[in-house]
Amino acid sequence: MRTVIRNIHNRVDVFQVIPAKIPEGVPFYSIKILDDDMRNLNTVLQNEGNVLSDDGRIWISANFVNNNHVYDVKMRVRGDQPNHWENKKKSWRIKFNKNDLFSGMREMNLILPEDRAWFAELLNNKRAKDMNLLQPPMRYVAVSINNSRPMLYLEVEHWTVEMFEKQGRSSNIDMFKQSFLDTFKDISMWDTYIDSNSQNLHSLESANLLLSIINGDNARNSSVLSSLIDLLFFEEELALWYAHSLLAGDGHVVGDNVRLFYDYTLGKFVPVPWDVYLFEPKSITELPINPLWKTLFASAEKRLMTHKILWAYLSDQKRIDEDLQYANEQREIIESIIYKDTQKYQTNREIRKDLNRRMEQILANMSSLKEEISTSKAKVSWDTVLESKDENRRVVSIDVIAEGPEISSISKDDSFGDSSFYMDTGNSQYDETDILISEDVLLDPIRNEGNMYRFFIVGPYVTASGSNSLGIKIINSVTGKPATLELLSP
Amino acid sequence: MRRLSLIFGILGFIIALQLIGAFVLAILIYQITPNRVLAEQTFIGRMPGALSMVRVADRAMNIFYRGSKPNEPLQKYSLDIDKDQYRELLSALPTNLPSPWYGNLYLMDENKVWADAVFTDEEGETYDVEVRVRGDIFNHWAYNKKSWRVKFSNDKLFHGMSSLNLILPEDRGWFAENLNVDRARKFNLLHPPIRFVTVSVNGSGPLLYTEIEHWNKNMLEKQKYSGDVNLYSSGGGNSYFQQWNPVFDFVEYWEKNVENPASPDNYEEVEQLIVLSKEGAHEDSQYLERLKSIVDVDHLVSWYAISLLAGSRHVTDFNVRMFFDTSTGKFQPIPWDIHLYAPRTLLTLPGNKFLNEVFRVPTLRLAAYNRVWEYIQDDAQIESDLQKVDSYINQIERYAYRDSLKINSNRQVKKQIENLKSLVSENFNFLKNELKVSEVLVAQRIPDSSQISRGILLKLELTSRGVAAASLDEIHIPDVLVPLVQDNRLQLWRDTGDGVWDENDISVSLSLRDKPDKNDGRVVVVKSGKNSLIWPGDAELDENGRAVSAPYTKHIFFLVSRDDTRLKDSDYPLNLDIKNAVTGKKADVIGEVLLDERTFENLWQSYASREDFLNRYPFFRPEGENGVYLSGNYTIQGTVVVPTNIIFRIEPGTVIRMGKDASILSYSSVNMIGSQGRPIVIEPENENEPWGVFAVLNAKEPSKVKWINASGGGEATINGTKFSGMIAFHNSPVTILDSVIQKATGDDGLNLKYVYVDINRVRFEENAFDGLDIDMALSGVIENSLFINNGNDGIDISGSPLVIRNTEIEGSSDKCISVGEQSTPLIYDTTVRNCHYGLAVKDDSHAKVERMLFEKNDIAIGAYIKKNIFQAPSVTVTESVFTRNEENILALSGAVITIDSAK
Repeated sequence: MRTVIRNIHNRVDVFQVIPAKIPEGVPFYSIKILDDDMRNLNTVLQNEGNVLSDDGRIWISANFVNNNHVYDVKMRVRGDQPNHWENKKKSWRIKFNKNDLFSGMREMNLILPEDRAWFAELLNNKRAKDMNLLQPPMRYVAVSINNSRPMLYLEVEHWTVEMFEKQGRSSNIDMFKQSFLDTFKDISMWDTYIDSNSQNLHSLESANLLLSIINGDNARNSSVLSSLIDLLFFEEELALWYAHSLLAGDGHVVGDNVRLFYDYTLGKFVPVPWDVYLFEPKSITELPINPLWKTLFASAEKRLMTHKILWAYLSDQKRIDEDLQYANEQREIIESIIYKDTQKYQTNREIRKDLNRRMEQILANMSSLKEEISTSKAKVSWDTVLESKDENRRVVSIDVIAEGPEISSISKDDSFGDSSFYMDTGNSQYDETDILISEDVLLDPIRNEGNMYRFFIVGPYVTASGSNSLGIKIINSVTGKPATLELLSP
Repeated sequence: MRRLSLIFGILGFIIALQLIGAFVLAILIYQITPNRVLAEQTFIGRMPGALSMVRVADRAMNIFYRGSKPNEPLQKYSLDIDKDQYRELLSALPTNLPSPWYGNLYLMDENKVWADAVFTDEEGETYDVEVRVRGDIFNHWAYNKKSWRVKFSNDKLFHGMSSLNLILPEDRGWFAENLNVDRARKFNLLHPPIRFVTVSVNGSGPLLYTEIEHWNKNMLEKQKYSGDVNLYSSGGGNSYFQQWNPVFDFVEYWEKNVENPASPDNYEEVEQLIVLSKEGAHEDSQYLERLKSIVDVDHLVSWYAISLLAGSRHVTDFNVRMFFDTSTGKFQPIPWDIHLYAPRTLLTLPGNKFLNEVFRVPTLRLAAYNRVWEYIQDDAQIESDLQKVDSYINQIERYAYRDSLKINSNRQVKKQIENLKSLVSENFNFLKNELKVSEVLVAQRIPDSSQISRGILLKLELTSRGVAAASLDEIHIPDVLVPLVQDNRLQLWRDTGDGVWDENDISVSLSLRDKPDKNDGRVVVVKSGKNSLIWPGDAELDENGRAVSAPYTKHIFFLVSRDDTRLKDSDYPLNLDIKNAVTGKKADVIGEVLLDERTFENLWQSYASREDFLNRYPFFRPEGENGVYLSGNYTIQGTVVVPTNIIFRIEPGTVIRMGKDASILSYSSVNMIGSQGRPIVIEPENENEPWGVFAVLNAKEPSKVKWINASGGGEATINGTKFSGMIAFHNSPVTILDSVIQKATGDDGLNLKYVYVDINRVRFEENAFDGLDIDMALSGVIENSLFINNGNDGIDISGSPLVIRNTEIEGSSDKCISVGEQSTPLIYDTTVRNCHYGLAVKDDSHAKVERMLFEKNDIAIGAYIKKNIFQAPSVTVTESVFTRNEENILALSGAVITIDSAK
């Protein structure tokens, strides 16, 4: 019924009567596939289930024409989910002859633009490049298949050695390919798009090492885990990756969207933002669902680094304006082609609504992140544990509940004169096990052990009228501004 | 008038259209909305009389249902219950929940009131009996038609029966229980006699019932079982706090329907059963033996097979019926009220604690699946079952339609019977497909050095996801292992759970197969049975016990050589034959990887403490709080890893002799400052045995190298990083001054990656391939340096913007200077001499050259595309000299060489 309504809607949509005018700078491809091959392919795809199986990934021959050059190519549908291949307009993977590359590309993907939230993924792509994160080249193109009206696609170069080398990256890498969903449960589910050329064997111990961070002995020892993470990842790159994901709502990093490669020249894993999509804002207090990222960003230090990056971005109005302008430009390109794309699945009304929603989401994410990062709350209570005029000693315990959302930090101020600041090690008692603090301590609202922290200030005896100060200061660790405190006692 | 007619006509048309639209919408809503929802959650259900009207209308259609004439008439009884006692019986029935903990109206003991009655059989013989309602749940007795227990006098048994049950047939899935009983009999399982009868109660028309003889000694003896047994059942209704008794937690909840007079009130055997039901009991290595000592396991397996054939989930804490045969000392299960359900995954556990534990034992589960597989592979068996179903339906259909007291309409009865009939086939088809699924993941691990030294050739991790277990049948081995098989020097061990090969592991026999494989390779057969079984564990379940995700159950095997025989890298991975243990066909290997555990075996050293490091390498000395230094003469063997966060220094005059393939990898910056009179020397221990590398990786602080003389090293891969340079700095800033890099045997004498290049007064001489290789530098300078007689290129740069000045390169076999992959060098005051290419610029690189001397080269300047993914390169030459070159310029594939002011 929905299809019937959609078909009727599309047929009466006057925009589709007028041929598309392809904007300047947008490449146009014409692809010819034999009718029989297309029919066979559609027959095979009808038998596919909810995930594209190997049976559905059949290659067919085609002619690919651009600028009067005809390329003999192989094509197949791509995309795990049925939206990519069960309707008339499909997503494709195109493979060029290695002796006749297309703009230096060996393989490219033509992806349904709605699957990448329209202009959102291109904005993600731009942001990633601005952050020096690796991205496959991507752009909008217009494609006619078997003389169809031009269809709008997102062209993305596929993960090949050539793609890496063109970007000045080492090709001595293992670029991992995850299976759908169960990736992190067993190493045998892993495979690679690209294999390192320095390995004699096609072996995946780099992936195995990564899994050991989540499962196994390494994961259970926190100091080993921390050392391994620092060893295997560039800290700043990781933070940039996460900041990039948060700007888009951080909602799509599940098993099959993890793109990561191990660089054998650096001994490091490099995350690549991929299919980041665009979601409603997500709180910075929610860790990613994916067990790998959840493990990597469990540490307050790593999240703080990420939030600082975000704050710098969100405080740079020029950058924001550039991004919004870019998004609008891409939207214009989309609209000039998509409304006249007669093969597409959605109606023009649905597309326009989606485009508006995406723009709202971009703005909502920025404003939500800015709001959250600039907000640091804490509840503070205190109690005098020991007070001795004879010994000239006073010990005050201070309990802080870090309420976030942003991480705050606590340090001693000078109002108590010559005093020492200790952090309780968990037994709630002031004793020799407590840690003398000389630097700021981060107060993490989503710490594993709980968001309540206990400190002790140990200093000279002062009379009750001597000081009204708590002797501490708590600030937002990103903005440096004082946190909002709720004083609970006495 | 005409106009009026037209208006009315149009209006009428519009109204008709709207009525049709509303009707279509109503049909649509009715189709997609469950009836229960319509009845209970919409205004339809709340309209007075609406549902009753629907029921009446439904029943009005009853006359249109005839059913086929039964081939044989059913036995006819009548039951006349004393009227007064019948009234009492009815008034004793529950009308409220016994407690808020109950989900249904439940027949408690006080509701089980007996009434006197006269039972008349088909021949007209009458019996004085007692009757009461039976059945725990309300459907048996809350409506006009009830289920009955009929008790005969001991003086006058009814066909040898002292007690029988008349059960609503729909409660037993109409024909389903009869089919289950037929199957049970094929597996020699006990069941009370069961058949369909009609009964006229208090003058009613004939009502269809399922008659089942009640549990007693007579019933057992008539079936040639000893009557002196304990026959147990489970149920509920005893407690305020739960409807069903948790019988596998407490022996006190068990009841005996038949009791061995020799052991009245004795429940010891049940206690044993409860011990075997504890969560995790199956993990005990003695579990199976203890189970076999008290349970007839073969019958239990058959019981489970019947249950699976019926898709059953109806035996949880209720419907458990078991008898303990004192002559054998074992329990036998009785299939009771198994019913018939839509198929569900075999990954779901059976449903009660005892059975869950039993069928977690892999061999028992496999036995049950094998029994099911054998059954469903037998077309004659399936055909027989389907014919039985048809026969039962023929027996009951017409009687069911004519049963005037039943609660369902004939339409509903027909639908139920048809659904159940299709479920029989559905279960067959489902089980056939389900048991064919045997998914396995395979990881083959090349052991690390310490394990290899113990003789471990391979660690196999075989992960089963189900449904059926798999078995490791055969391993294809390289020829070098063949002699080891015959005298048991090649062994396979099954890990017992700690992931380490030790004396607790289980030896698995291997034998050499006579016939080689299709590639003429040799094959060892793994002796099957439990030790080569790869079974799935528990699936992930939701709160309702439904499987939501298939398990990952890992089984580890070690292939061990008991002598010095070892495998080469090229021997891996080994080919394995893994079969579906039920069907015997190939298992579905859905993922397979090879893992080389040697790659990262020393990675832990990179974050070791300074103390650990010094303990390991005592020839390093501590310095300050976190420094170490080398001073003097040393010979280094193996790989030394200097951890992060250490300040590493080498004193002037230090001589480090490197053993064969020895390497030093530092994760900290290094200060190697010698002096002209006392350089730091790194050389091979033996001249003809190249060492590995001296490398610095990802060090944040800059390194300084001055007055070092390095020679005779090669390449290495350490901790998953490939170092192509004898001296290598990857992502570790460094300044290199006044040094000599020579006679490297690997790809590069010095390799720098991702750094700012600062090389001054360095000589690169007689390195086998490239003297200096720079990749993806940030920027930098190479100056005042000499490159002499290097085997491939003098300087090779890629992806780098660099300055090369005041430098001489000569005698390189390929290029004096090679510029590739989008590099943008500025080269001036430099001489390139006696090379094949003086300067080669490739692949979207753009070089600027000033005041260079190109002398005696085959080709002074070449520019071309080497990798077709790049654009054409370019070279701009000014104020340079070309002398005695064979060819001054060679520009290919669109490259542009521009020469201004050349001489």
